[in-house]
Amino acid sequence: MRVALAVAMLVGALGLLVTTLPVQAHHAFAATFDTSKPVVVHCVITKVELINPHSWFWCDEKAAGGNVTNWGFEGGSPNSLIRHGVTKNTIPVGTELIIQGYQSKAFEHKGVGVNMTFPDGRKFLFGGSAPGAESEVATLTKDEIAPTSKDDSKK
Amino acid sequence: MGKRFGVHSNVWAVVIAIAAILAVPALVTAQTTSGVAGNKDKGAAPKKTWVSRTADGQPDLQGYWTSLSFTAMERPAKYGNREFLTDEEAAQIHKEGIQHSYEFTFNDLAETPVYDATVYALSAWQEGVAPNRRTSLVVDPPDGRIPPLTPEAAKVREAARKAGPNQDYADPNAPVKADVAEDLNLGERCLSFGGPPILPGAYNSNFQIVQGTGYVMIEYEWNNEIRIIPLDGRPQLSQGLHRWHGNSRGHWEGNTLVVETSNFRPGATFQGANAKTLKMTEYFTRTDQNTIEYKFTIDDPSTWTRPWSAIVPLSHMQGPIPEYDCSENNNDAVNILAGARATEKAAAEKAKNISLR
Repeated sequence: MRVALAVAMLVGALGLLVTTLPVQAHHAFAATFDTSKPVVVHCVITKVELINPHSWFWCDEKAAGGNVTNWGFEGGSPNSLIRHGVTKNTIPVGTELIIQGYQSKAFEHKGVGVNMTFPDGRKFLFGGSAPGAESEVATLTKDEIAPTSKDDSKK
Repeated sequence: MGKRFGVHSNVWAVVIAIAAILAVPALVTAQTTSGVAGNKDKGAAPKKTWVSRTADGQPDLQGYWTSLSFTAMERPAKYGNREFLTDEEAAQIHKEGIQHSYEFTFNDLAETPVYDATVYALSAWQEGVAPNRRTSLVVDPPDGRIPPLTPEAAKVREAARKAGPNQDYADPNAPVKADVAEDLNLGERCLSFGGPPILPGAYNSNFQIVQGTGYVMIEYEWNNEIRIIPLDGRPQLSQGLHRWHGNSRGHWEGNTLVVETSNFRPGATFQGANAKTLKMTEYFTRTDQNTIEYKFTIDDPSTWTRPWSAIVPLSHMQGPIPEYDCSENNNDAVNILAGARATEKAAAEKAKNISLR
């Protein structure tokens, strides 16, 4: 459960833009990331930086031809993660993940993470800590798990 | 780099000051009295106070608190002048606030251009937000809306919006007008996330209150920003001195800590208020073991057509507050500026292609 919770929290959220909260966040999403460029990257974690104002997760994507591309994904402030017991070692280097996010406006291989999923389809949630969230693990569909082109990743 | 160290020297000064405060003997709390305070809010139930006292007899506000809330700053029109929800309505809104995050996550997995607030644990309810019976944070004027700007302030705000570097991102699709790092807003530069007043942010809206003899210290989690509030009745600073969080003086009125703040820094005021004329009064009243009723009144006749007030419930949360080193690893300044250049380049190429046709 600890790992599940930790993984679930690791990419981190920036803005509670979905609520009625008066929103204040460290920076605006649209200033940095391109909403028209959703990406899904299958990769292996190479570095985890629990740093403010945003955590960063770095991972290697290996193409069919063997070329390796190192991606960087921005996550939320690590303060909440730390508060919930997440450490720098919670997702060890070498962990295989599917990261869903949006590409940076300026850098081809940087983005902001939205979801983290394991290759077997486990998508980590909070477990029973939230009303209505009975399940610790939700399962994505095959389409959601499969590598997709940018256009295909839109649901 | 020089700026970075400049900030740090200020921080160290504050840290030393806090160390001095913390050097007083440990405060022993003892629940002594409970009672009912005067109530000025029409229609409200009598306000209960919960009083635990420090060793030197102050009402004890110490601990870790969060200002996160599902309550809107301004009252939705459907409530009119109605200030309070029923318990059932409040519970429902709280439930929806939580549930909405889930629906958002799974209904709009890839298309909604915001960070995912549910899956990755930064949703307000995870940080201890409690249900609130108020229909808005603004309680005065009675319609729960921030009063209109003065004509002069409206002109200044509009001019700044047109000429400025899009700092408020009012239009998320507008290009970011940022040529150099100084064009980024104070938060993006890790200089200050603002306040007072204390309001709900998107996340990390947590803080610690520490009381020492003659002082109250408030440390915000975001950017580890600190206010040290003397209670000894000393005069305000001279008008020529301006501070990031203004300059505060506090005193007790019964069980309520009253903090009066002025001497704000131009460019670092709440909602662009006039630093020269803005006066803010905050009222901290502990209403039960896990809640502080926090009210603030904004009085800036050159910005708003009348003074106005809001009440934000502060909920107890589990500490401690982690360190928040912002400047050292601020990738965002680079990424935002690079994004602005990339957007300009794309626009220029598009224009060039059109002219070649």
